[in-house]
Amino acid sequence: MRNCDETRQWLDAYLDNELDPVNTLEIEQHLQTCPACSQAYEELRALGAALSTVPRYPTPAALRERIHSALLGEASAEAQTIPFAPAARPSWRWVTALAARRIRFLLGFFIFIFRILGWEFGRSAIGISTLLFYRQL
Amino acid sequence: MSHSNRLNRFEQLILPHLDAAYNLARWLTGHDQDAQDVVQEASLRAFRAFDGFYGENGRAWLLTIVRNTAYNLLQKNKSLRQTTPFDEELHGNAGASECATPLSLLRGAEDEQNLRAAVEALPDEFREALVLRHQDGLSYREIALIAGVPTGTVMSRLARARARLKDFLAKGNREEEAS
Repeated sequence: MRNCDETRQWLDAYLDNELDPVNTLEIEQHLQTCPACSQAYEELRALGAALSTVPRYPTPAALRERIHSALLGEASAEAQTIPFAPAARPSWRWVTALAARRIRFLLGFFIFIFRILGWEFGRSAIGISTLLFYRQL
Repeated sequence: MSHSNRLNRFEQLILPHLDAAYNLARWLTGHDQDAQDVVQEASLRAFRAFDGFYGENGRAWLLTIVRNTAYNLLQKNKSLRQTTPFDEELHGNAGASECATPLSLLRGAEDEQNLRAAVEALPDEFREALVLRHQDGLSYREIALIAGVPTGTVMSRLARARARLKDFLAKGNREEEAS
């Protein structure tokens, strides 16, 4: 069973429904048997209820409109800056252009190898180059 | 995320809390124009930082930015508006009223203007906790998140704020009865 001091200490949290079930139950039990704490809680509850009825300050309609147009301006300013932003991944057109250049270079290279060093050496050169090519891509 | 998508998402998740934002800014700054400036600046700041928002609690997120913006403005305008520095001990609930009867309290509390004035007279930290709790129905955890303090501090601020209000209203009633 709680005493009055302990109960008063947690009265605000009890009012705000912020206590766990065990503490809530203990406060409830104390309030049922203690008129002084019960009265203190009643005052607190009345104050809380009165505070909740104080009207909020209404948002001016002009502010809402100003924010809306400021956001539109901000969004379109950002949209305009996007073409200059660095691309996260290279585009496929760029990748194929690079691949085509490499393939042309490699073809020339293999013809050179075949002519100078013959078939056996050329075949292993193709294997190694293909491997390197895919790893780079 | 495309830019119009981003704006749409912002308008869906954040802008519904504009009323709470203006209300908090209005209570904190004490002026309509200051509150409008704060909310507009905070909304733009929120939009720029929107990529860092993961959609847990749009209201608490926006209110955190509004609160910080409002305190920045208050710091700047300190000479214009006399604010007393907050001191947990000084502004504690020393001398909490023992003489407020439920009847006198209710009569005072029912007077909305009285109560509004009493809340306005509270230190900023007390006032924001009361507004967030009673007008927006936020939990201690959410208020703690917004004010950047532990939940225990929120609890003690609310308790002290209410004790001071009870005191203030009881005093007002006693003066009324005396005159």
